Amino acid sequence: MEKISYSRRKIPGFGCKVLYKGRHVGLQQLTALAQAGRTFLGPTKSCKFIMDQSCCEAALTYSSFRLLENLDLSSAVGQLLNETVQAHQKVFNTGTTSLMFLAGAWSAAVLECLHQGIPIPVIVAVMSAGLESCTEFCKGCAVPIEDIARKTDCDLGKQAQACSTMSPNHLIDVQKCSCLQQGQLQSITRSTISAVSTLSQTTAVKDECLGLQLKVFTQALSTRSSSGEKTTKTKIKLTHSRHFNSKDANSERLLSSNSLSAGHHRDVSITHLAVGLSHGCSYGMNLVIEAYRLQAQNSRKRDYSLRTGPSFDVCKIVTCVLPGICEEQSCVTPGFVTLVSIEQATLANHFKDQNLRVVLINGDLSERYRHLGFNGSSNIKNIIESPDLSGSSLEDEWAHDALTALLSLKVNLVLVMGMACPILMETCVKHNILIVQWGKPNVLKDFAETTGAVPVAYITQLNEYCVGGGACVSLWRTLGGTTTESANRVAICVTGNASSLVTAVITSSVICKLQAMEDQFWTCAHRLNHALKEKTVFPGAGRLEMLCLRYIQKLIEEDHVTFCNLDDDNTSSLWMTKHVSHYKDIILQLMSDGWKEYLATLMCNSTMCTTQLEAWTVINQCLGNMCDGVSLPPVSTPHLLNCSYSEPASEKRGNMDVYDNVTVKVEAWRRALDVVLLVLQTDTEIVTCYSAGEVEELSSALVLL
Amino acid sequence: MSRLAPKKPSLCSDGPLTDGEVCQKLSVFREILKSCYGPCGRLKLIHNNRGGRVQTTSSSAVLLNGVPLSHPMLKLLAASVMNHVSRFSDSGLFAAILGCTLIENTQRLNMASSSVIKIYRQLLSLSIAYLNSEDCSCRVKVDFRSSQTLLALARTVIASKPACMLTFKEREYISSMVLKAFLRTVPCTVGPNACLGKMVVVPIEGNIAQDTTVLTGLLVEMPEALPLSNTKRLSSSCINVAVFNVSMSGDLPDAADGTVEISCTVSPEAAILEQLLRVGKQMVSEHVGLLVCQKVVHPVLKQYLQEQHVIVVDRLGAALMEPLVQMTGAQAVASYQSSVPSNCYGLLKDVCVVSFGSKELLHLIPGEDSTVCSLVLCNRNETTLSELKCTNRIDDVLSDLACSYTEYQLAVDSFCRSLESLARSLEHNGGESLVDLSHGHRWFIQASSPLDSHWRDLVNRCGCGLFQKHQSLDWAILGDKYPSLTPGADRSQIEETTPHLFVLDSFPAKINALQIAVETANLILDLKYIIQDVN
Repeated sequence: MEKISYSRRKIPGFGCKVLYKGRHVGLQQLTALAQAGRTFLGPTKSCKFIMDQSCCEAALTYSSFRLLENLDLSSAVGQLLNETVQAHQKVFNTGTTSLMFLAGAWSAAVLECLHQGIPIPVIVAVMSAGLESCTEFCKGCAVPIEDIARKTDCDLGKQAQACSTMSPNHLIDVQKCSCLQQGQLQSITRSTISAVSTLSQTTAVKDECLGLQLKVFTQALSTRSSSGEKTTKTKIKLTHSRHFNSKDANSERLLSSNSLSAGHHRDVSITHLAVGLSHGCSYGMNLVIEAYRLQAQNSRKRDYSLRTGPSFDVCKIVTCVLPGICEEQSCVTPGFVTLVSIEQATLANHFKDQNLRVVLINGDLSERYRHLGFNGSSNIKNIIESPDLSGSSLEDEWAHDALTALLSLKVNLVLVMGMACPILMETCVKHNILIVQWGKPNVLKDFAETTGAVPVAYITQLNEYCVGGGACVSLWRTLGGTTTESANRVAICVTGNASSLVTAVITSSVICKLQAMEDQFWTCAHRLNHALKEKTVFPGAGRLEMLCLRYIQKLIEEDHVTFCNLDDDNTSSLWMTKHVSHYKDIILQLMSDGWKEYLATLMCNSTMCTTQLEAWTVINQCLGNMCDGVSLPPVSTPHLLNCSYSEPASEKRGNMDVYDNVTVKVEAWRRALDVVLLVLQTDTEIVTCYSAGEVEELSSALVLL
Repeated sequence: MSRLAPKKPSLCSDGPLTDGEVCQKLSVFREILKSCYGPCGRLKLIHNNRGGRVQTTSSSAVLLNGVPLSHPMLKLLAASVMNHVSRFSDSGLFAAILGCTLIENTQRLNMASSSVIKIYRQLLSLSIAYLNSEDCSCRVKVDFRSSQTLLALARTVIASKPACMLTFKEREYISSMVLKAFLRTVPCTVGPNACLGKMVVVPIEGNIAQDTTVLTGLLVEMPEALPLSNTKRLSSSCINVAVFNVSMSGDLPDAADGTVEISCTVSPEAAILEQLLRVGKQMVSEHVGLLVCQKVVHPVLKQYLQEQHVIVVDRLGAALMEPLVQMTGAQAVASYQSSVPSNCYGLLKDVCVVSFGSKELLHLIPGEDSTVCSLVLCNRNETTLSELKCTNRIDDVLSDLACSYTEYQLAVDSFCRSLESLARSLEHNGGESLVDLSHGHRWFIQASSPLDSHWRDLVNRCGCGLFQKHQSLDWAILGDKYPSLTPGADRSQIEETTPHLFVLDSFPAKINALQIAVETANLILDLKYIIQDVN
């Protein structure tokens, strides 16, 4: 990096650094930063501790966005990467690790392109066109989630058939399998989630079971397609299997729904999809499945005629973090779980099984609170005409008025979005009024919908019209039926009438894990939500990246530049067309190496391979096998599911199906490439406020304007 | 405690351009701007070194706004360019680079600045006269029968901003949407005082560019409670609208410097609220279905109106007031102390909820022939979106259009060298720029062309796409000595096909940029003393 400066004056002002002279410093920074997120890739992550040396504070992190959030990013490129990652996290809540990894891998690829003397516009044009073309191809490979549901249905059917036709030896195996399945289902329909330690066991068992299913399914699929039979969504009656019969009976009791078998099958298919989307995070996904089940059950209860698709509303999920309780106690509870004082908890217990009258307060419940936009006047003097001898303060008076208002409307429960005045809270408990603070906006919205209460800003606004009814309060109890108390706070649960609001209670005795656990839960929830909304998913476990590699190989093998719109691009690239074909192969090869590195890291992280070299060899072998006699587009969905090549990352996971979200993945790629190309096209960094001291220090590296 | 410090005397420095340090600042500034120019321009990262937002840009508006300049001379240059940009939203870099280059080239001339200034002035008027004349070889008439020319113009502007990170398809799509929005603002009936409507840009971060869309009417933030199903309506197809530009938050009117003394028994807040509720009652009795306030509405008034099925939209912001007033025909009410005159109300056809990604907005739908529309502009993140916002104005192109990268009516070396170096700065990858000797257009050749080949074998089409190579053309390297040429208006060689690949610039914007550049350079050249107040 060349550094120029010619200012001697010590003025805080604007300096600029030259980023690109010879080696591009910005891209190097990007590569170095992205390295930090490598170990977060894949189902087996290693977490990181971020230490602040000045105050010895540390944070535990499992995800790229938290890592970047906690780092002190002084460089502009680091800041840019952080902004990109946070923007992605804000929209999708998942996929940031892929984004960060590819940003690093592709900036390394671009550095190599620059090293080989390829002009910047050519790199930009070929890379963005290459990714666009690849994305289009990948979108064609997406699997509709209905197919996955159908597949699960088929599995059940096939198993049932197998039960009736197979030899006794086989029968035992299959029986074992379906027993496991039954056990698994019970664990799902039970409203409790077992702990991580026991879960890992059940997941292993599940894996085994699903692996069996997959084999059966592939057989089924091949026989079906050979006989030309259409795989329609047939509902198979499970009359021959006592296991499935008994399960139906079982769920009938639990679900209390008349649309039993349809609903039941839907739950099963969701489980399969959800497990495939969990990417090794069974703790979070089991809570999500439970939340889904509670919400689905609720919507069915509310409307029997409703036969629409799966209903899953992420906006109606909140989390409550309870430190100091062991992880086995994590569960999903209908309603809003929050912590209150011991006195309030006693009152909550007293309210058990009562229909409560509820009001909602949009801001703080205190004397000093004023709505946003109200500034008051500073130049007003209050003049006391007669001395006040009662000695009551403004706040006492206000609290008295507030209590009177609440009592006159016979309110039992006040849900406040912000904080509530402690004096008022205390007096209210004495008058059997429970005030719950810190309700999130979506909680208030749900209570407004389900109880009919109208949220207000001031307690003086309350009238009969604003009061809602039908709310319930109870003490939140652990699986063992005991209440929890930590630091003089007790968890209570507030529910609206037939509300689909659920709270995921996240517990751990290791406090520093809680944040990561909460993040994991939300990641899983959003993955499932995206999949259900888009109705399609990508084959996961690196299969999609393998397809990309193969597709790019095909693009390189094609002689002419036909991909994308390079010919129609703006006139400045007219002169480039000759160049492009010359450099195309190199750039695309380097770009696909980015994906290869992604796969290799995935394999190394999941301990399939010990070295990157080994992983690259396996990938290259796979690629060679794939190319033999396989015509590229279109790759049909059944072909994908049948894929015969040994699939790297899923081998050890018992052939269980793994899925990725479509838009999340594609957008992560695009944003990763965007940030790389932005940095590539940047040649100067302009810093707007250096302090005088810094100017002195950096005087050799800066140009002052 | 206050402290008195003696005022420092003003600082006077003479001959700012003779100071080496100032000249170096100017040349760094010029290099920064120059490297941003054109569709392949390099980007700049602007940040404050304190973990603030990072801006990635190559646009003059962001660059000059985001960068505090230290020297008054640079500030002057930046200010006049910013003024140009605020009027035309285009050709800012052109003006700034030309200004810098003119100043620097003149410094090397060693001539009296007064005479150079005179010559420049004359050259400017000659150039403008030529560009306005019929035989100008780089002017394209807008064909209003088809959208191609306008589309090419929009595309040129968007393509010149690489920091938007748009692919070819996305660029085409956004161009067409911008044009669509622009055409919506053209009134259907042409009367004596017909004027263009308003286009409001609604930026949405996080969605992909293909989600960009154009809607008639305005989009506003969703109110918390929305009585959509039973909104008060005048008839089946209209909603009465009241618009307030005064704060209805319940604040006391400002008492200037004085102090108001109020007895404790009197509550000024309650008194104001009473007034507000009185206005509320009037709204209800006069069948207002939608109340819009530029500032905040008191929650109590809001609650009252919502109970009466009136939609309340507050915090509209000053920017949306004018289009709202234009669209509904309402008059903005500036006081709630007295009752609202009935002729202040406006009309809307309907309101509905639209959602973009996770964001929900309230769509105010106007009557049939409204010229107000909203361009919902989507891009992946804040950086790319804010860059895209800069590109969105093509209002001023209705007169005439010209392709003007290529103005080589040369008279004085310095003047034309400045223009030439400007044209050359479109190339950032070591390639060479040529000029043809009959039209004076600019042609590219790539950096690593074989040395022994003819120009003819290396070029294909000129930079703006207007001319293709043919036998009678000759080329010279731009910036070298070449025989003087009179770019003719030989239009026979211009292709008759639709100019979908043309690179076009707005004619008035370019003319003004040229004017600004030369006049600012003249002004700076004329500077003898700088007097700075250092207090």
